[in-house]
Amino acid sequence: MTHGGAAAYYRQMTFAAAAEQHLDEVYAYLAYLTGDRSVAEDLAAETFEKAFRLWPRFDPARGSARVWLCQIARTTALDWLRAERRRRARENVYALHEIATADEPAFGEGLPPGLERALAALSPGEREVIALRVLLELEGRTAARVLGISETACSTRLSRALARLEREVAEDVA
Amino acid sequence: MLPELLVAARPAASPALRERVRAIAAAEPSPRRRLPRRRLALAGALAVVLAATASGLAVGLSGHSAAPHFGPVVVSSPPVAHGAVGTAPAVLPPAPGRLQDYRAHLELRVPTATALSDRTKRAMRIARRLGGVVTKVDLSTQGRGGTALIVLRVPIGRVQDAIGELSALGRIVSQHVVIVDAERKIEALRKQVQDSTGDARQVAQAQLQRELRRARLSTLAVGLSTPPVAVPVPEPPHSESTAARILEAEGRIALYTLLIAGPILLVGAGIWLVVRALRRRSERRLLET
Repeated sequence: MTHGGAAAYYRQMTFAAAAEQHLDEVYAYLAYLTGDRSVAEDLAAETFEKAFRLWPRFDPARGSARVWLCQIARTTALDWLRAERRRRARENVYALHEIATADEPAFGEGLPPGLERALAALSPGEREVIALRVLLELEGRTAARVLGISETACSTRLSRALARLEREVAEDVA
Repeated sequence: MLPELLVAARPAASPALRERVRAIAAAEPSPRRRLPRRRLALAGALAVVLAATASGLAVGLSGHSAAPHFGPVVVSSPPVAHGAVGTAPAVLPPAPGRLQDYRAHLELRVPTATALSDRTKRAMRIARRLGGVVTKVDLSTQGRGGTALIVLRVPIGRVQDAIGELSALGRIVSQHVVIVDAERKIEALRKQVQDSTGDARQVAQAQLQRELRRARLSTLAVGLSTPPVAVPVPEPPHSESTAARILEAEGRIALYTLLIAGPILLVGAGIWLVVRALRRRSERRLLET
């Protein structure tokens, strides 16, 4: 679909249709970013509440609904991460560590446990770029726009993240 | 290998979350569209520029008709009769055999104040030579300029000669001739003299003599003047220059505003950049942990 065609498509799209179409992607992105599926569910709901309020301001000419929703999801997740860091600092409780060691898989159904653990060992930033580029299959330029960095930096970040993931998997197997 | 595994196992939203999102979307707002802010800002800027240009042009064009005239000082000059500048005027001759009240006014231009005095004397001599009289001379000079008014009474039969000679005293600027037939008035006075007696007859007789004298002598007024001295004055305000001046003033205001607001804007931009950098750094740290 061309950019103009996509703009026309999204212009006629209702919020309900956009939410239905991109819910899984937003949820997956948030699950990778937070490393916690229950948190990701709450943040996804919060994301769509915000998006619902902001939908009249959505401009299809400036980007697709998927990218727009991802940007809102990112802001929501960053707010949560800040609050979580403050809470951890206050209570000295490592919530993410607890989640990562929980029995429930955080990053997908049917993932090998070693890969699940390797993903949990990654930083949120590393998981985020993998989610955007691998899971959501965003182009480098689009992913860079969501992350607020250059395309080159995005590419570098993805390479490092995948390299580290492979390293973590290898260490886990060893 | 790893990417394929990750994609295959991508987490999907639970039915509960799907229901929550559907509930949110159920109260869908009206599809109110807004113009992007950038386009609004651009449109606003364009509107301001157009308004400034239009107001400048409008004021300039309206000022063209209403603005006071600051051009070179030009002494008001009546239109020259028959285009006879510097040449003998087309003199209206008196009707032969009829009594008429003949009055003429010539406006002549002489080069200098010295010539003004000389031509005044010559005008007086012309009147006397033609059997007329000088009834008024008003000569006024100031510096290299001046004016003179000479009123002559010349026999009606010599009026054409008089006007011809007088018009040679300078360059003709204008002339005005009035001829009023006096036959009926004089006839009425004659009848009044015949019919009346005593004092009334004497009064009527005096009036009759006055009218007859007036009908015999024409009245010639000659105005002499030197050329007006042009005073250098500012450039006349054309509409284009007025519009340009207004636009220049607007540009000056914009420049002053920029000079005043520039440092504030720079500081603001600097603060914004610092805040953005700090925020990104904070985000990076947040996502690294």
